[in-house]
Amino acid sequence: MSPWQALDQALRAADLLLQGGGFSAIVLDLGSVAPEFAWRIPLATWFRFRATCERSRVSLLVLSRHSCARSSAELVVRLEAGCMQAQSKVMTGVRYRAVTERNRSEDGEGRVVPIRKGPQPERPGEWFSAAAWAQAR
Amino acid sequence: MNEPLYFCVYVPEFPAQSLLRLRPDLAHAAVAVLSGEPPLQVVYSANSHAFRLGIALGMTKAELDSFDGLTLLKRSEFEERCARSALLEAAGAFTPRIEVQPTTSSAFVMALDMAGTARIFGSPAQAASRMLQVLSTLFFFVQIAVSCNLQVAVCLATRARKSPVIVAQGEEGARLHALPLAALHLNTKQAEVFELWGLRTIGELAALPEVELVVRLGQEGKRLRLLARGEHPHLMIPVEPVFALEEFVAFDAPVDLLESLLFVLGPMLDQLLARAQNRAFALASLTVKLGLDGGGEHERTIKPALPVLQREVLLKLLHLDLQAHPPPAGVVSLHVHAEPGDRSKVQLGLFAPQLPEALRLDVTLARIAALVGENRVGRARLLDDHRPDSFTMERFTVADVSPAKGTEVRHSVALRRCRPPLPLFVQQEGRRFTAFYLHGKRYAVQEAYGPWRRSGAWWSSDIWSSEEWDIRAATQTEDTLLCLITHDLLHHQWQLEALYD
Repeated sequence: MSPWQALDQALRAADLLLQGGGFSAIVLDLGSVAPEFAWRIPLATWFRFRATCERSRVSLLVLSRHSCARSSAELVVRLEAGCMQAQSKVMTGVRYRAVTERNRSEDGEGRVVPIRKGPQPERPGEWFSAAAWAQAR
Repeated sequence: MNEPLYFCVYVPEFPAQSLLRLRPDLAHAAVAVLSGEPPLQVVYSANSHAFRLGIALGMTKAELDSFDGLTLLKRSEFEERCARSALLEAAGAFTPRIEVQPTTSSAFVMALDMAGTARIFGSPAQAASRMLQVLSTLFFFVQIAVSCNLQVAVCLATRARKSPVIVAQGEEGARLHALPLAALHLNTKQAEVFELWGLRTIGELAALPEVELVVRLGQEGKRLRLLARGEHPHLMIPVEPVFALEEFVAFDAPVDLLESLLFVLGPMLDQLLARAQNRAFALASLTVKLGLDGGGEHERTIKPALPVLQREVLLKLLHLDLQAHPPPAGVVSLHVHAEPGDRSKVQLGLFAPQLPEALRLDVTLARIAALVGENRVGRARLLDDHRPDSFTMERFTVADVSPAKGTEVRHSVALRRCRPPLPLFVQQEGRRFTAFYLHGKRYAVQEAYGPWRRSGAWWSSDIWSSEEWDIRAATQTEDTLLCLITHDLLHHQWQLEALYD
């Protein structure tokens, strides 16, 4: 299957799930899609997704190598390369860092009370993910 | 003790009606049903439009060629059986005591013991009109007669063309008086004898003295006289209909277009849904068997998340399923079988999280399956195996378990698998990794944890064995990569198995 075909299928499937409604969050994983393909997704698609999300109270989380939703994104978070943590010769987990690039909900003084609860930060900045074998049982 | 009360439901031209109920497009056409082996086919049944054209029972196919606008259908005993069970089921909603009456014509006749149902269905006239209404939803035209004597009801049902005939108690003889003797279903010998005696109507037979009749005709004479007077006692032997939701349609020529199949499936679903609704059921699963041109069968089953009563949902699911799995040849017959299920009501909590509607989700998943392929939709489930990337896809369902309060949410390392794994060229110094090449770039290894040895299935041909390293590597331009690299010990290949995401 060509990358275009796979990308087209993923976008159509996301569209169907968004139109179907009922989910609180939908993750569109474009992490394995090369940026030159992800960048060519038309803006109209992202705008339609955004409009559907607002209408149906769904959060769409797009994982991609570069920010591709552009002005339709409510929140853009850039994840930096992780750092492996180890105990002697065993990798125990990865420490990650993230930076908020843009947050539209904090832009400007909003005089309109939003219907939806705004995004709330959880462990902002940095966190540690443990490997399955290093988690205390 | 309740007074006996019998309803006779007479379905005229039953073979034609059983075919036409699943073909609403022919409702206003003249239709004749042929029976027999070609070329000796004769008209076995027809609808009223055909009779108005001048069609008569027993006409040969050659005689029918002179009629314009006449549709000919082949008699289907299977469809008649389905129609019969549909009728018995619908009647079963009124009374459990139903007896199928033998007939010499092509009609289907059943007698219903409705004694003691006045408080449920009202007067006989009200019950009869309700019965007509229920059977008309199944596209049956029926004639109903009501009497305290079963045989009187059976005799009069053939006359109840415009409205139900209701015979008050004691009036049985009077109502039968003017009917011809043929209404008593006489055998040839009896008919000849009565013709010789000059008898024409039932009233004339009823007026004959009993003893003289018995002397000449034996006990049969006594029975016929009681029938004619509307006094014949009847021992009812109720049938026990098996509740089976199935419908069958056979086509004259093979059908290739999916839209044409769905056009026929629609009315079949209507019938099944109406019958399931009569028993307060919904359809839990639907199996479609397509008889193929040149023999063979193509079977598909759909199973919605919840028992469904919506025609559109079932039709859409069938459409998507048949689109994904089209029959390999033209379709000559269609058999639909449904499993009934309880109508489910889901009570949602006021503070419960938002969940997708089960039926809508079913249709959405079917649409996605049609788009991307059936085995690529669902929920991934890990297999009980140590082989890397061993999982299976199972049907997606919305889990109704919410995480217990107070449990700490843990962040686990996520792996992004490369499917298929990317082959690598690795540089080593002794047992130590130094670098590898990926997509034309050289990655220098900065941290390496391993090797971890894994192997399995040594008892079979699927044997596998590998070593794994958790690697942190970077290019000269500081592009960092956290990855899992494996060395296939059997094939001596280095592969990039996954990325730490």
